[in-house]
Amino acid sequence: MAPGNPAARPRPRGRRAARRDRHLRPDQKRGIAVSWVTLLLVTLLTLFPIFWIVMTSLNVGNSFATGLLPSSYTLSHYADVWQHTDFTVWVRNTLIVGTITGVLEVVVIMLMAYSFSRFRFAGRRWGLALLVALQLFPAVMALSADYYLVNWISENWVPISDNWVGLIALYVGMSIPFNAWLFKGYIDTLPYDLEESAYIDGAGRFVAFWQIIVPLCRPMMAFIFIQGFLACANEFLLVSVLITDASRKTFSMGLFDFAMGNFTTNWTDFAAAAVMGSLPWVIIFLIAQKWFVSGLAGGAVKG
Amino acid sequence: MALIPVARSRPSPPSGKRNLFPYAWMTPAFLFMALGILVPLIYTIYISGTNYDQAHLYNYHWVGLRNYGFAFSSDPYTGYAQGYLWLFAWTFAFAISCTIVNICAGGALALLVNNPRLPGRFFFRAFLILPWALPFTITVVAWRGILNTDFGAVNAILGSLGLGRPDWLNDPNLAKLCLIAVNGWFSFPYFMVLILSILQAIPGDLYEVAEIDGANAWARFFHITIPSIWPALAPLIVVQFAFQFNNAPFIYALTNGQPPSLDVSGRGETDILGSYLFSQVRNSENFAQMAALGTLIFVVIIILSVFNMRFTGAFKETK
Repeated sequence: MAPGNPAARPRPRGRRAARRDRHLRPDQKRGIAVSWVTLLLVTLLTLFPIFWIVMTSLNVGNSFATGLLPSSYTLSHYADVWQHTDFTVWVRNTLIVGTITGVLEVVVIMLMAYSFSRFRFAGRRWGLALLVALQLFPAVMALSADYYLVNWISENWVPISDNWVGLIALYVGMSIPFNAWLFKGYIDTLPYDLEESAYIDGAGRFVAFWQIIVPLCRPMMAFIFIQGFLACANEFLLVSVLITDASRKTFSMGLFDFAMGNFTTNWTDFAAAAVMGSLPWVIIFLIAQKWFVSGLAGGAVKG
Repeated sequence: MALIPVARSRPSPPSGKRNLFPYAWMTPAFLFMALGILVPLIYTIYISGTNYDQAHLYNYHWVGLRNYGFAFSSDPYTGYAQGYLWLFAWTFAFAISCTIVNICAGGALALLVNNPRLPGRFFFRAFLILPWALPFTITVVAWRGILNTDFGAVNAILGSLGLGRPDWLNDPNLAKLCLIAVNGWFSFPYFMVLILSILQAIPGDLYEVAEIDGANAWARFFHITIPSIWPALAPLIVVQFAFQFNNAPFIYALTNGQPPSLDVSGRGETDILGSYLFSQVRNSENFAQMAALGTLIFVVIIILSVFNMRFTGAFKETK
C-alpha cells in the first residue's frame, strides 16, 4: 500500500452507496441503529470535559459552575488571562521551540530512515535493534541526568542551560527512536523502481534522494513535524526541570504552573486560558489530520 | 499473514558494504540520540553505583551495588522491597489495563465508524478525535476539576441524582479506576484513527466473498478483520504497553501519586514506578538510589517488551 496515493485505497462509499442500500434487511437496520446510538452516547461522554471547560471559562467568579450551566455568563476571564498572565509569551515561546524542534526532527530522522531503509551496511541490524530498545527507555528516569548533563555542558563547553538550545536538543534526541523506526517502515513501502531507473539514467544519490524520496515522503515529513511540534506544546516535566527563567516558559509549563502553582486554583481563569490556548492546536491538528493518519498508518503497515 | 497488498521494496544497495555514505547520513541523528538518551542513560547507570546524594554532591565515590540493596531488602525500616513490589504490581496492572482498554475502545469505535451505511459517521469521527487534538496539560487539569469530590461536575450530577458523592481521586481504589478510565479518554482517538486507516486498507471483496460463503459477522471479524490488522497492530501494542508503563507525566498531572501510602518507601497509592521516581528525585534528593531504581525499571521494561515482541510477532525486520 502506498499511503500517499489515494488511488491505492478503496474509495470510501458515500451518499450514493447509502441510497443504494436503502432496502436493508431488518437485522442490518437494527445493527445500524444500535451502532448509531452507541456512537452518540460515546461522543457525548467524550465531549463532556470540553463542554465543561468552556462553561467554566464563562462562569462569573473564580470557581466552577455548580450545576451543569453557569448561572450568569461573562467574558472577563478571557481579558484577565490576556492582560495579567504571560499567556502571549508562552504561546510565542512554544511556536519558536516547536517549529525548530519539528524542522530538526524531520531532517535528521529522514536522513537516518533513508539510510536504514535503502542501504545494507555493517552494524545495520544492531542500529535497528538499538532504535527499538531505546523506544522503551523511560524519559522520566533520566530527568536528573538530563539536568546535570546540560549543566555540565554549559559549564565546560557552550552555555545551553536555562535556554532553549539544550531543551530542543533533548526533545529531538528523545523523539528519534520511535519516529525513525516509523519513517523507515514508510520508506520501505515505497517502490524502489523509481530510484533504480534514476540511477540507470545516471543520477547521483543526492539527486535521487532529493527528487524522488523527498517528494514521496511529504505526508510522513508533515506527520513528524506536527507531532514534534505538538509534543513541545504538551511536554511539561523536562521543560520544568531545564527552564527556570519565567520569560522562557513554554505553553504547557506556564499553564500547568498557573493551574497548580497557587494554593487555590483560579479555575475560571484557567479555563479561559485553556480555551484560548487550545484553539490554535486544535485547528492545526484538524487541518493536519490526514497527514497524521497516512503517516502513522503508512509507517506501521509494513510488508 | 498480511492480507493487505503491500508494494514490497527491493532495496539493493547501490554500493558495497564499505561505503561510508549511510554512516555519514545517520551521524546527526545519532548525535542527538546520544545527547538525549544514550549519555543520560549511561550516566544514570553510573550514578546508581555511587553514593551521590544531597550530602555528597561533590565528593561522591563508587560504592558498588549498595543502592540496589534497598530495592531487595525487606527490612521494615530501611528496606523498600515491599513498597517497590506494590509499585511494580500497580505499574504492570496500569500498563496492561490501559493497553487493553485503549486498543479495544479505539478498535470498537473504528469498526463502528467504518460502516459506510452509518449516517453521520464523518461527524462522529471529527468529534471523537478531539481528546487527541487538545493539549494534554489542559485536559488533564480539567479532569482534576471534573473529578473533584466537593465541587466537581461528576459529583454535581451524581449528587443531584441522589447517588452520593464518591471520593474519586482520594480513595486508593477509585483513584486507580479513574486513572485507567481517564487514560482511555486520552488515548482512544489515537487508536481509533489508526485502526480505521488500517481497516480501510482491507479489500472489501474479502468480506463479500465471506458473506456469500455464509460466514456470519463474528466469523468475518475473527477470520478477516483480526488477521488483516494484526501485522500493523502488533508493534503498536508493544510500544503502547511500554509507553503506559513509563507514563509518569500522566500520573503526576492527574493524581500526583496521591493518596499517600504508609510505606517506608514514601510511595503514593496511585504512583507508578516512573512517577514515584520523579517525585522522589524532587523531594528526597537521594539521587543514587533513584538512579538504581531507574536502571531497574529500564531492565524490567526491556524484558517485558522482548516477551511482548515474541508473543505478538512485532518488529520483525522484513527482508
